Amino acid sequence: MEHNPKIYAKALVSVITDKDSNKQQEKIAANFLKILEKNSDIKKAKEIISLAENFYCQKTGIRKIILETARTIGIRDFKKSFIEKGDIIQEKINPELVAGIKIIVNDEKQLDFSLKKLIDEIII
Amino acid sequence: MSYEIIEKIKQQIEGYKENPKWEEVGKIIEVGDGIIKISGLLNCQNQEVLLIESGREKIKAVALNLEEEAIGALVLGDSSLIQAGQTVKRTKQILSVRVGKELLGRVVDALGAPLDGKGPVFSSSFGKKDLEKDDEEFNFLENNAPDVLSRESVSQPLHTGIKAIDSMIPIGRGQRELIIGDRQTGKTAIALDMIINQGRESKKPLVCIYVAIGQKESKIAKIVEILKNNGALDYTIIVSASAASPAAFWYLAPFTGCAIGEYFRDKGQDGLVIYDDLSKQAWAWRQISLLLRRSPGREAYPGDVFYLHSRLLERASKLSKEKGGGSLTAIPIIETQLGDVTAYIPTNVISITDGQIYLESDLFYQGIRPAVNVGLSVSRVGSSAQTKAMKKVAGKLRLQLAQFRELQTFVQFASDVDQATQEKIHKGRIVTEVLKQTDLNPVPFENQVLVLYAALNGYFDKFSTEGGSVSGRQPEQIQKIEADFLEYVKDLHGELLEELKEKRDITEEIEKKMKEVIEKFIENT
Repeated sequence: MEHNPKIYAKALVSVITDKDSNKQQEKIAANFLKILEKNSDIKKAKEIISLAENFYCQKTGIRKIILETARTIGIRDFKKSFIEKGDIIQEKINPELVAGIKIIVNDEKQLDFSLKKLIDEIII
Repeated sequence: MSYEIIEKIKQQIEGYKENPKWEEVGKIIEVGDGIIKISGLLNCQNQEVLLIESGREKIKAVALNLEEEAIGALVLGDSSLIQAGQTVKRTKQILSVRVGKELLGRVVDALGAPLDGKGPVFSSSFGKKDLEKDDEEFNFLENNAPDVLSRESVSQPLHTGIKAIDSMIPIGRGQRELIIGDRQTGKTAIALDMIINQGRESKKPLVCIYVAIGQKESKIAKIVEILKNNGALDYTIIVSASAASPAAFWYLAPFTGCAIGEYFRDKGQDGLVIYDDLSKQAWAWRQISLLLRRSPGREAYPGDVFYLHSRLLERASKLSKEKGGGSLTAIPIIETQLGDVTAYIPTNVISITDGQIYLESDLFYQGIRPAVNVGLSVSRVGSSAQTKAMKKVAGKLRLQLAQFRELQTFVQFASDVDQATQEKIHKGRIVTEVLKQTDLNPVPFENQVLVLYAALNGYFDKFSTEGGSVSGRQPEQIQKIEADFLEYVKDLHGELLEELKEKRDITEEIEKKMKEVIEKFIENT
């Protein structure tokens, strides 16, 4: 039976959050992939994982933070001041920003310190 | 010039204050046919403008469907640049259009952007102080109609310059009168005559807004040219959502026209907004609704297609004196298919409006132009706004014409017709001829009164008799006689026309003068 990616993601998050140890969680993740393969739904894996990430963050209160910069820079100090324990951090390179940084939290809100935004605002 | 620009930019850079704020964002999860689905944006409002960050471009969209998991939005730009995964930002602004008298004489799109190549409509806010920016006035596209207490009943006439309409289907300021008919029956021509007549009737004409929905660009260009040549463009605004525009613009253009009209109405001025035509707006709304996966109903239209038109047309109103006394008259146009007025959209709009002008292909091909079917056309509130002079003259016109039509049908089957019936038919033919009119040639109200008075009181009967026999009568001559008569009155008795225009009533004195003038013309011809 074909399942909706959202249902897969919700089920996965529900099982994973019940387990405390990393080992158990890893095992569940491996089992989940096997189930996807068995159900011929492996092509949906990317979408399911992305949804599961969001559900996991919602459920546990952990933030998924994307730090977008124009090029690789040392943002270790910045990380210390802003990021809390447990936060999932992703660094992304986007040359269109020209300079500066853009912080996106949980794909829901963003703080834009990029030069591109400044230029846009001055032109408008 | 370039030095000034550089200086201004320098000032802006120096005085720029950074004000970083958390912005609410979402992600596009689905794109297709001008519709996007967005995840996130939990606090988004209905009708809120959203900004899609599509590479270097920023494309606007408007939120329409607020669902539990996602938001359905309508793209207001080039949707081919949009991809799944792109970021969408809230603007916290409800869809609105900038309004002002600067719009007069301009052609704009459904979002108020100029299309006529005459540069920006409003002077740029670049370099303006914040206080000056506050003067900018925006009207919501979706706005509430005035409530009962703010309204007044329709009392002032809106002359169209078309004899058949002004005499039998009078329109008042603040009324909603539908023009309905098949393709190529002269619906747009009536609308254009109305606009042109406003300029000829008064030195301070009411503001006209012509909303073109789904029309060819060439037709819109032609309309602009006609209005320009007749000096009507100065008090007209054209909102164009051409055939090449996306469905979103077809759907929004009437609301934009209405929002612009409301600006003038709320300032105490009189406005006239023509929606040409609302059937195309209904098609666009059907397309958008189906793409948004709303349930289809009759003829696949969504359940709220009645509300789409009723909320738009309800905004036409005559405001009370306390609210400034302005008015907004709405003239929606509906195109029927093979004369079927019982289809879904025509019946909806007929029931919403305060009357309809029904144009018929058969009449059009018979040479009766404007091809108004007097029997099926009606104005429910206009008679209280009709001028006394016209009321006195044309009171019996509708009845006479109806009798004539009935007799004409009867005579087709009967061989022997008595003298009295023949006289009635003859008179009916004369009146029918008098009501004929070429397009783009609106007749001033006072001229209409004079001509109809002469025709209905039998003064023109003499001209149509040739050779003394009843069979030799040729009412087709009437149009030339009418033109000669009006020229004669204008040249030699201009004061009578002025008096009629000023008093708007036929007093005993004026009637006496009218009789004298008509008799003199008949004697001299």
